[in-house]
Amino acid sequence: MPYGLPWSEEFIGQITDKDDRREFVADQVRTRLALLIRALREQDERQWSQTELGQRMGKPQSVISRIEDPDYGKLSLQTLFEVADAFDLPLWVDIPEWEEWFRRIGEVESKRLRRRSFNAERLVAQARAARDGQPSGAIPSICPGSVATRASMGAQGNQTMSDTVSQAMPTQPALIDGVNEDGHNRGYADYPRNAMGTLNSLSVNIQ
Amino acid sequence: MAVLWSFRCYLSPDGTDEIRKAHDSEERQTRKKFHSRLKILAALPFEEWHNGVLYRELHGECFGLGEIKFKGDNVQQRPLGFRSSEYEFTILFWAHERGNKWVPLKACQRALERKAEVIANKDRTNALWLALE
Repeated sequence: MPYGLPWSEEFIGQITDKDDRREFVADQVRTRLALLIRALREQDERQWSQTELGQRMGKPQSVISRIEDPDYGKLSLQTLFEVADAFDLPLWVDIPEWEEWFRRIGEVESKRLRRRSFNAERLVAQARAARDGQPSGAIPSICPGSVATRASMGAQGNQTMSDTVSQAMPTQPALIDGVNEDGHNRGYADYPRNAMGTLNSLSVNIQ
Repeated sequence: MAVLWSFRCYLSPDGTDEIRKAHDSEERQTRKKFHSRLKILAALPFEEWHNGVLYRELHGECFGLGEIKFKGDNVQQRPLGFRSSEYEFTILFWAHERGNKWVPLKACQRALERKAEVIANKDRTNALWLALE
């Protein structure tokens, strides 16, 4: 395997069948999402129980248990909005190219799933640093040409995860995520962009 | 993604990879979910296996074993194994769970017998045939 690539020839050989790929992607997305929600809930600054997250979402603990179950296949986009809102994080839904998907889907360790909630002071400080030309404030723009409003997404708010995944296949995998803790979306600066400067994959960015 | 773990599979005395044989007899969804879950486990430190969602250590008559947990084709799939070295997990027996009972009922006993065989003779395992990266 070439250095730095998260896939090998052997691995690709085992997902050449489209039906195999569909099942593999569906489980990877569902499992990573379940691990992400759990990691966000248990993050040091929060340490919320399932009951506490449920209270913040207006749902019983049993619902939280279900959405943290990788085998639960009917998580709706609306519920994901509510989960993200409880953490005061945005939601990111994407249909990337395979290379990008392989790179991001493997980030499953809890330390790589840490995300900071909205903090105006932090964001303003970054904006000021960027304006003043300080490298630490250089936040790459994310899909500037493909921002959808929350209202427009709301029309599809009853979509399920399985819908999302099946729509993503067979030609494209699906990624559903919060934005990384450091706000930099690891590696996004390196993603292929088209002549308009937007990423070469369909993206939906919910602010 | 860093792959931390390697997986090995039990070989019967005639050299048959029993885990691959069991895997191949399952439906597509189960086969690919197994592949997916091992890929995820391979990237996680062991303390993050212990969240009861992907993996669980067993007690009582199954003490010394752990189960990889997932649902495939509406059946609770429970490949049983043990941590055979710091970053190596050996899968011994592909069990199922139905109504809080093992299928087959003596799944743990058979897995523990296999574990004893593997500990006595490491040649009774094969590297996992599935690529995880």
